[in-house]
Amino acid sequence: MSDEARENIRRAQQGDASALAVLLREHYTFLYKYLIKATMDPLLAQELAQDTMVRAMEKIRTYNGSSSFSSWLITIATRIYIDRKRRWKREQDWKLQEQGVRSIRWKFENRGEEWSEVLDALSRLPEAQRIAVLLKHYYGYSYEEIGGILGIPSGTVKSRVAYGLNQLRKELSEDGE
Amino acid sequence: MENETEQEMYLLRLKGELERLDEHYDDIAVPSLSEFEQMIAVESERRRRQYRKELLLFWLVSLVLLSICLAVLGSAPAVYWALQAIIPAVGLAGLAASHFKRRRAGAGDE
Repeated sequence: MSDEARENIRRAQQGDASALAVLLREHYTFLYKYLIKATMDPLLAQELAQDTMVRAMEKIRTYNGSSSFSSWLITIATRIYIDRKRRWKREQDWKLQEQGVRSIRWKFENRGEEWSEVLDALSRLPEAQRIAVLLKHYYGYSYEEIGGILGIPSGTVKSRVAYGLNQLRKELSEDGE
Repeated sequence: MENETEQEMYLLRLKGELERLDEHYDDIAVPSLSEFEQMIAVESERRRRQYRKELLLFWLVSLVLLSICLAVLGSAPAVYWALQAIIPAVGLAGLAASHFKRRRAGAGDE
């Protein structure tokens, strides 16, 4: 973390609204892109990014610097997402997921690029496994760190990652046949 | 060995596709600094109002509860002391039940 970022965090924690605005703005793109991959739904990702920003404003004083600021935001965002998914009805959930993937697919095709079967398979994974795979193999967090982010034991994270990868491999080899 | 190579190949492919997905959203519109500042101002005003409302509600509920307790203590002391014993017991039982439920859910996840 740069000295400037640390200084912004310190000032934001003391109630400086402009420092908080700079800090949140700097991390917005990173957070939004993480949420697109975690949810596979750009509209939902945007909504969650805004909710995360609001929650971060409320809780900025509790940030203790033990993890990077972006990891702290990922933790907040993931928990908001999981909490929201719990409240959704299964049917509605499936429909929204389909719409989300379709919108990403449209973006690919609009640029004349082929839609990816890997991303398609990833979108079909249950969100618990998808997030675990993403945090482990794309963002490079350790099992313990992911456990901290999701609030679950590292053993559970390990089994979610293994299950997720297994599912992906199965789906991809089925598609390839 | 072959399995490991295969796994690495899948991971590389996954990483590459996720990077490609990221690139598609490089052009997202990030709200301006003034929009963030405005959002912070609106949010802190909302929180201030909510805090005031909650404080008022807390005082009102406390006042009502205290009046009820005093009235019961004055007219039926036995009922008052029975309630004093029952309420913490029910609270503790509820806490224990939710703790066990959460542990069972965690175990089912593994």
